[in-house]
Amino acid sequence: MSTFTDDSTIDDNETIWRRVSDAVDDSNLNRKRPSTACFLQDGPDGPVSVYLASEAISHKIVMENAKEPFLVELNAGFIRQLGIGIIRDPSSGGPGHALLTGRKTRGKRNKMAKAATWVDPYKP
Amino acid sequence: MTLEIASPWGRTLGLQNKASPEFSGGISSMRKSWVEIFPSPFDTMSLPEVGVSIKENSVVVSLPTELELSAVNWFNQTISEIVQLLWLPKEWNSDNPKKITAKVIERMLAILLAILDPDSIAPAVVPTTRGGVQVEWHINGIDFEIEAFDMNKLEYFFSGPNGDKEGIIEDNPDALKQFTSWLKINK
Repeated sequence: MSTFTDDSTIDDNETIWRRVSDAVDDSNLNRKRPSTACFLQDGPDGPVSVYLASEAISHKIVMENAKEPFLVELNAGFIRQLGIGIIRDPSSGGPGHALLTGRKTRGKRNKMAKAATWVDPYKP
Repeated sequence: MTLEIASPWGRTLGLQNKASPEFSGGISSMRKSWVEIFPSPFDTMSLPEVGVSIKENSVVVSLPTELELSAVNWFNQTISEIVQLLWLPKEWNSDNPKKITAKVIERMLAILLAILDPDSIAPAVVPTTRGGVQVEWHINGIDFEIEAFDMNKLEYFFSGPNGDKEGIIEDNPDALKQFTSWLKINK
C-alpha cells in the first residue's frame, strides 16, 4: 500500500525537475513529450526521484552525471493536485534532491507527462 | 525467411519465421487461423507463440507463421526496436533499472501480433525501470499504452473521449478490443 507523505514547506510554486530517458511523439499535442514510463521507478507506489529547482545548485549539476539525456519541469502545485506528495531527500541525491510519494497511477503519470515542459538545453 | 537487423551497437539481430502448415499466407490469414483455433482469444488470453532466444551476438525471434512483412506497417520497425532493448546498457538510467528479459519481449510481441492489424500505426517503444517494455500511441485524440513487465503481467492505459481506463489485461481481456480500432491512420 502506498504511503502518501508531503512536505508542506515545499511551495506550490516550486519548479520540480525530473531527468528523463525517452521522448515520444504526441500527435495530439503536436510535439514531443516524455513517456509515462519516465515517471515510474519500482512500481506505482514507489518513490520517483526529482529535484527542487530552487534548492538544486543548477540544472547543469543535476545533469552532470545523469544517464538520461533530457530534463523536464513540472509545477509542484500541479503534482499535488494529482494526489502525489513531494518530500526532500538530499541524503541520496545531493542538494535539491526530492522524491514524489504516493500512488502514481497510469492516469496520473499521463497527466504529468503531458504537462511536463522541456528544460533547455536538455530537450529532444 | 530470415530478416537481419543491425543493432545500434554493431551487433546483428536475426529474425526467423517458423514455418507452420496451419499458418501461412501472411499476417491476416495467421490471425484468422489463430481465431479459428482460439475462437475468442481474449477470453482465454491465449496468445500467439513467440520465441525469443539470445545468442552471443544475435537474437532469434521465432514467429508462428510466414509473415508478409512488407504488408505489415508496424512490424519491422516495432520488432527491431523492442528486441534491441535486450542490449540496453545495465545502467541505462539513474534509477537502478532491472534487466529486460527475453520473456518480457516475447510477451509484448505476442500481444502486439494478437491485437494489431497490418495497417495499424507503429507505436513508440520505451523501456521501463522495472524491467518492462512499454508501447504507446498518442494519435487520433487518444493515448494508449501497454506495458509488459514480467512474464505474467500486461498492463494497459487508455485515455479517450469517454475518459481514462487502466488495468491488467488478464483481468479485463475484452478491454483491448475497443481500443485498437483507434490505431489506424486517418481514423
